[in-house]
Amino acid sequence: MHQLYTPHTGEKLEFSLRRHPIVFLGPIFIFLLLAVIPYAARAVIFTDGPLVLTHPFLDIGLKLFVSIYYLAIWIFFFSQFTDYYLDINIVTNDRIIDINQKGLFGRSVAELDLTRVQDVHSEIKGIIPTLLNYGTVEVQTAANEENFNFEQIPHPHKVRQRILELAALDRKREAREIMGEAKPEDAAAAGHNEMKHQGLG
Amino acid sequence: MLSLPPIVLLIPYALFMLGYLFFSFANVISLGKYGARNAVGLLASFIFIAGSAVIVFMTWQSLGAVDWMTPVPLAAIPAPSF
Repeated sequence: MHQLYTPHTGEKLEFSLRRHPIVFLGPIFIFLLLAVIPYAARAVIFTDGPLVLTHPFLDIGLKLFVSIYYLAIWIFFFSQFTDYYLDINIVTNDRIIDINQKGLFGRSVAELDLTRVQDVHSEIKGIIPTLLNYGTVEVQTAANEENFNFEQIPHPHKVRQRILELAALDRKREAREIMGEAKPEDAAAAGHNEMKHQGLG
Repeated sequence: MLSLPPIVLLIPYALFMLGYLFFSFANVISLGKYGARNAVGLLASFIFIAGSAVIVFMTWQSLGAVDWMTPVPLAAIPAPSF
């Protein structure tokens, strides 16, 4: 997982999210449908006998065409898998990373610090999503910034709850760090003032 | 009468295969480069390569007996009757 992002000091991976596997049934169904078409076409068109195929030139051409067709749908299917598998949302104890694979040659990566999370909204809509418990989580940030959307992810309500918890923890941690940094500075400033007061600064 | 050896049909096929190899390579590299260097990524890549090999092998099997160099007269192609 660390090859997808470079962790900051003390940063810990909480969870990573992909779309629910059920959404990949769509491309599988399309692939199977496309794979059956040549057989169906052969059965429908050549019911009276493959007259066209009696010529060697056309026979070879048709076989090469069918080969190209199957290779094309095979690579289309694999590209769909790559697109599905490389779309990932990573949640650490410090930030949210949204990685979107856009086709084969496009990829966008966006990050959001958990302290900037304003609100998180989760939604499950439809019969199948309700049955399989997957839906959308929208992470809302400041008004002028783009929201983060995790689409078709499993257990969206649990994810919303966990992100809110992590955001609260991160805010506390950041507040502690600020307080921790402020204290030595205050002490140093006080010391400096005291030295000045004593005529040594 | 115009005659052509069947090998000319392999030219578009070879061009397609060049594109296919390029996209296959891009797909497998994307999977490895962007975080699928794990069992799922390896299995998916293996299945894809194996599937491609099976399709090419079946094509080669079905065209194994073809004499690619002997010219075939094109005028003898019958009209399709549906």
